This record gives sequence, structure tokens and C-alpha cells, in this order.
Amino acid sequence: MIKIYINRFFHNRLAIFSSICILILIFIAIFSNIISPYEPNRQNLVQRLLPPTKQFIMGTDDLGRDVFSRIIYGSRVSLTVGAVAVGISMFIGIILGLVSGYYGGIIDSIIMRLVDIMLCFPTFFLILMVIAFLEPNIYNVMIVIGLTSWPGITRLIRGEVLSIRERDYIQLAKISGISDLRIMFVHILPNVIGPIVVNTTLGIGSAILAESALSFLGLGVQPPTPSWGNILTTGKDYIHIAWWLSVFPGIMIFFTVLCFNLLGEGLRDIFDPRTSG
Amino acid sequence: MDNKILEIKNLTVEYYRNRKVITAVNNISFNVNENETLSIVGESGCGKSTVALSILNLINSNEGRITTGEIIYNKKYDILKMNKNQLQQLRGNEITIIFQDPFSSLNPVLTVGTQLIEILQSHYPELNFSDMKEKVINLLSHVQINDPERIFNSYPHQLSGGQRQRICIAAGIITNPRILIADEPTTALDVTTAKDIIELLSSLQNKLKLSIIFITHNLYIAFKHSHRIIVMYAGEFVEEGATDDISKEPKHPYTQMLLKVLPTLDKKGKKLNFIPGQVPDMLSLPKGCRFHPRCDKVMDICTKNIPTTYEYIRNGIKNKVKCFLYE
Amino acid sequence: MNSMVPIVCLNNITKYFSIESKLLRRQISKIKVLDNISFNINSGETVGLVGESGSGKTTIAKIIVRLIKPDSGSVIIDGKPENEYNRKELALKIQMIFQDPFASLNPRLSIKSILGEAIRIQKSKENNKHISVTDEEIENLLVTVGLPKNILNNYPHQFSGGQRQRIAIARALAFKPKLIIADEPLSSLDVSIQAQILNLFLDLKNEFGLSYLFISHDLLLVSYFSDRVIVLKDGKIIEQNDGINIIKYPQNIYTKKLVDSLESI
Repeated sequence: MIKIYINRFFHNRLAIFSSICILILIFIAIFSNIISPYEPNRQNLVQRLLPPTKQFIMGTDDLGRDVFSRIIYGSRVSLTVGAVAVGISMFIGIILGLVSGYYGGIIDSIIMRLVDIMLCFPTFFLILMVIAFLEPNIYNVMIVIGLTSWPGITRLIRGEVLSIRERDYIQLAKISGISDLRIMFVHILPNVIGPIVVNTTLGIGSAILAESALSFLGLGVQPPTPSWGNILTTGKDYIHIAWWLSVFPGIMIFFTVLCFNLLGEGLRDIFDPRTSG
Repeated sequence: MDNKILEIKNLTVEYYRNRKVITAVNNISFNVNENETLSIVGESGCGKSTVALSILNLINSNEGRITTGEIIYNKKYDILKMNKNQLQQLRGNEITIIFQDPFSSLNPVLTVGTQLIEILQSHYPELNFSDMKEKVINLLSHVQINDPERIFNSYPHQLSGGQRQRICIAAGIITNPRILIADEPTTALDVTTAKDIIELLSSLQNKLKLSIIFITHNLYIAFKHSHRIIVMYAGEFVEEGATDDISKEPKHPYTQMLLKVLPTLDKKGKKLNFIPGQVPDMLSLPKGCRFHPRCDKVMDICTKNIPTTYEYIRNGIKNKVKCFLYE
Repeated sequence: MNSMVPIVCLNNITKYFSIESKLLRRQISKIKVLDNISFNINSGETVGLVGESGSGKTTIAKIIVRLIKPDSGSVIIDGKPENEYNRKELALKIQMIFQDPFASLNPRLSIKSILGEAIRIQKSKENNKHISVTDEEIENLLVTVGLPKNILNNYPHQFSGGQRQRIAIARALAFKPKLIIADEPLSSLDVSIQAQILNLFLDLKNEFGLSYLFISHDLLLVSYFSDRVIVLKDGKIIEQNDGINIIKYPQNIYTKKLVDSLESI
């Protein structure tokens, strides 16, 4: 089974290309301390707001810190938030989706009404509301993003479970005396892998965007820790004289989210049962 | 007796699968005469539905293509060389097709009447609405629908499987076609309904002097109402002949075995004859005759060469069989 | 076990399907799918159930394996009422084979997982300790149904319809059931394969003393294979007879109609 997907993967240019880019990003994040030319928090007030030069490839910010180094270290924040937030929302979403879809009845009704209620709020405003009550730091950001994105996943998984639940092999599993728990996790869950993987990658993209937005507003990762979002915060104040403070982090956010979205699209093709081959 | 309405010559169709190419139909030739029912019989993967789609040049270019062949309609036109306009004139008009699942063949959001009138409109734009409605209602009673006025205003989901298939048949004959292709029209229906549908097609064929190409996996259905039968296996032609000949004296080992494997009451309690093995994987076909691994009369030459086709005439009808046994 | 006790006793089973309004789940209307069905399946007997689509035959099967609960009436399995069995105990008595071999096997599980799980459940009835299943046990099971031994690490999509049906049969046998319910087991298979599978059913019956409930719309098939045939129409039993006489001397008009539709006798 997995072999088919691996085979398709290597024929799908989109998937390969975006995976390579993401692997490069991960590499940058892990080895930030080796790649980065300067300490990201090294201030030098003499070298404030310098445009991109050979010495500082992406210029410096208002405290003389090298933007390029800050962007490299910023990848750690983005990728970590992306991974953890999505991990939380997937964990909750898969469990609730499985339970809701498999049991139906009143459990399903309760969970779905909860989902409906949460989906009434624009996600980002929900995040803002919650963060406002908490201390803004990277941990809270990850948790809050995770706790506000699970409703969409739940609904998606529930839909898949509803269609799989009626299939003969699941009926047979029930006839075989297998426990409900085992049916949900061993028999149904592997059949939902496709949407799960696709939505994980797309979710990472949105989580990164959300974190960047929060940090930009000052409600996320706090300086001096570099995050692409909080570099933009400074950028907006100096936009007329230091375009590099806005453009480079903007490009990074754009590029990273694009890679994850493209990977998600590519994976979608790979997992689609209608694709021949 | 040269009243051929359709001549298919050397038709070969390839499909793309798993980035490989399979030959779904390999060099098939046969004719369809006026005013006859010809059945094409075969199991899954034999290519019979592909042949049906090829006749109207309906093979999806993403999925496959017709590599060689001529399909001569009415002794004049090669369907495979027709342009878009000519094909539009042909399809649904002079040559129509009905499929296995009547439910997905009908649009669920339009009434039956609307759908049938739409067909008339596209081919006879000069008719006015009340004329068309009258024609349709007339037609519905011809296909044995009771209360045609009510059905005219009904939606597909309000009808039974048998009724829906009758609507599809109505759609297939409303333009007075010369040829009707029926691809497994009874497979999705109950046994008693299937019997009625087959009899309906038979009587329509007689009344309208229609030619019907009937595709099925069930030899006995083919025996009931066809004049001639073609048997296919794994994309190839295997045997062709008058129904009487094939049912009483089938020549090809595959056909013979197909007739022997069915359960009958006198075999009760005893094991059945069966054909060992299974239909070959089209990606790895056996060398020589495609049936030889399962054949009880296999000879050495069958494993190496592709059998040639032998013709014989019986009662004025040309029968054919593709097998080395008749060399 | 006492072989005089019927394996399955259906008493006055009635089942309605209701159409509910989506919001508050109020019942709008009811359809009577099964109407006062009663019949037995005895030990070692093959009972055939014939009916067209909508006759209720699959519903009966699902009630016997407790996938659906009847609205009234009782199901007695091997002398005990059905609701006194837990899911696993029931699994060891009755197993089922479905029509579509492509849907009967979990596409994400290997043959080893599918069959191993079944054998494990069967073995665990003795004790609840951790049970292991050897590859050899699985291979023996495969041989019983005429499949090669080396397919443990393959997945369902790599097999043909007939082979998948054999795997489904192997799975059912792993539980060492007394009764196998086969719901249209041949309809999705090629004609040339159907005979193979029927012969397999016959062999298994003789080897393991199985009882069958053989469900099909094909009267000839059912009559050939079954000791006794029950004809079902619109949820009611309209005729019962042994396999040969149901075709030779049909009593009910509907049965006669079915006999007429048979292609060959």
C-alpha cells in the first residue's frame, strides 16, 4: 500500500519540489547556529538600519542586528509553532472525529454542535481573544492555535468515518467481536490517512501565518527572540526608509507557507484513489 | 445477404494504466446486420464495453485510444474518421447506447419528460413543445410504462429500477436509430424485471427493424433473444456464430467450458465443473493463445503462437472460431 | 454441543425502518422491512434464502449477526437468546461473507493482519492471556481455501475478485464458526470463477460440518446448493420447500414467476 504512494510521490513534481524546499527549511532551522553569520541578538547601534550589503546580506534592523541571521533563527519559531500547533489540533480533531463519526447518535450531536459553535467565530479573532487573556509567548501561541483549529479537522474526519463505517469490512470487524476502540484506531484510522496527511501540511501553513500575524501584532513571540512576524513589526515603523525589514521576512513567510500548501496539493493528488497508477 | 449496417475491421484499443499500456481490445473484426440482435459475451476485462464505446468513438483520450481499425457505418462512413459535427449527428441519433446503471444514466434533478424532450429538441429543433410531448408520451407506453402522463412529470428517484431502465430505452429509441447498443442493461436489475426488459428489447427490435448490439457476461441471456453471438476473452475475439450453433455446438474450449460450469438441479450434491485459474492480468498476458493456461484441450502450439481464425458456413451464416483445434 | 438444537431460531421477527426528520429526529413514516419472520437453521443444514432486492434478505442476515436489532421477535442462537452473548462469543458461532470481495477486506491491512487477527480472537476464547499467532497457522488456513502460502505480506488490492473472496472465506473459517451466512457471495464474480467458489463451499461443508445460510436472488443457484429453500418477498416468507421441489413444484405465484425467469433448467 505504502509502496504505491511512494511510487506516486516520486512521479509528482510538485510534491518532490516542495518537499525539498521544506527539507532545506528544516535544515536551516536545525543548524541555524552554524549557518547564521552573526548572533541574531547582537546589537550594534552604529550599524542601525543599514541596507543590504555584502556584510549584511539582508541589511540590519533598528538595533543594528543582522536581519539575515534573525530570519534564519526565525525559521525555528515558525516551524516549531507549525508542527506543535498542528499536532495539537490533529490529535484532538482525529479523536473527536473518529468518536463522533463512529458512534453517531447523541455523542455525535454534542460534538458537532460544539464544532458549529466554534466555527461561528473567525478563527483569528478567537485566537486574539484567548491570547489577550494570556501572557504572549511561544508556548501559549502554539497551544492556542492548536486549540482553535481542531473543529475543521473534526468535521473532515467525521465525514470520512461516516462513509467508511458502512463498508463491509467494518461490518465484518464488528461481527468478529473486535472492540470499538480497536475498530476505530486499527481498522478505520488507516483508511483516513489521505485527508489527514493533506490537512496536516495545509494546517502547518495556516499555523505559520497565524503565528506571524500574532507576533506582528505584538501578541505572539516577544522580542528579542526573532520571529518573522515580529521583524515585520519593526518593519512597519520604518517602511519608508528600510524596505528590507518588511520585504525579506514577508518573502520568507510567503515562501514557507507556499511550500507547505504546494506539498499539500501534491499529496492530495497522490492520495486520491481516482488518480490512475 | 449483404445488409451490413456496421462493419468493424481490425479494431485495436489501448488503455493507459499504471503508466503502462494495455491492449484492451486486440484486432477485433465483426459485422452487424440490419434487423438483428447481436450479443457480445465475455467476462470482466474481456473488452466488450470498450468495443461498445469505440463504436461511437467515445474512448476518453486521457484513458486510452483507438490505435487501428475502421468502423464503417451504413457501408459508407468510417466512424473513426468522422469530425465533430458528423459524430454529433450520429451519436444519440442514428446510433444510441444504454448503460448498465439506469440511475446514474438519468439526471436526478430533471423530470423524465424534460430529459426525453431535450433529446428530441437537439435532433429535431423544428418540432413544437406539444408535438414533442405527445411523441414522448406515446413512446413511454411503447416501452410498457403504465400511466405515462404521470411518469412524464416524475423524477428518476421516484421510479423503480425497471422503470428507469425503460426510460433509458425510450431515450435510446426516441430518435429512431438504426443501431442500439445495450451495455449490460439488465445486470443491475432484479431477475424478473430483467426478463421483462430483455423481452421488451426483443419486441422493439422486431417492430422498429432495429439492430441491437447486446453486451452481457451471461451466455444464457444472450441465447434467449439474439440472432448471433460473439464471445470475447481477455480482449480478443474467440468465437462467433448463429445462436443455435453456439448454444448447441460451441466450438471454442472457452465457450464450451462456460456452458458446463453453471449449476443445474441434476448436479445437486455434486461438485461443479469449473475453469481453473482466472482471467489473465492484462499487464502480463500469456504467450500465444490468451486462454491456453486454463484450457483443457491445450496443445503445444497454443503456448507459442496466436491462433488463427477459421470460418465455416452453416445454414448460410458465416461462423468463426479462433482456435488451433480447427486447423 | 447438542446437535439437535437448531443453530439459529428466528421467532416472529419484525423490523421497521423509519424516516426521521433531520433536526429533531422525529419519525415521519415507517416502512415494514420484515414481517413476522420465523424459521430455523439446523446443525449441518444449508438453508437458502431467495428474494429480489428489497425483499429483506440482507436485513435478516444482519439481524442474525446482531448488526441490526429487530423491533419485535427473538433470535435464539444455539439454544440461548442472542442478547445473552457478548460480541466475541457470537463471533465464534456465526460468521458472514459479503457480496463484494472488493469491500470485504480492509485495504490498509495485510493478509497476515487480517487473518492473524481472526485467529487470535478465536484462540483467545480459552484464556485471556496474550495470544500469539504463528505464520504457520495462517498458512494452513490459506491452504484450506486453496490459496498459496506466500501471500502473508500482500495487500487486498493485489488480488483478483475470486482470490479476495477466498481470503474472506478464510477469515470466516478462522473463527471456527458453526454457521456461515453467505450474502450473494458469487454475484460479483466472473462466471468462470463462481463454480470454483461453490465447490469450495461444498468441500468446507463436508470437512468442517458447517451450516450455511445462503442468500441470493438466483433461485437456481440456491436450489442447487441448499437443502431447504425459503422464498422471501416484501419482507414476508411466501414459500418454503426443499431445494429440488421448490423448482419442480412451485406453489406460490411469485415463486412460479421466479422459476419462469430462470435461464435454464
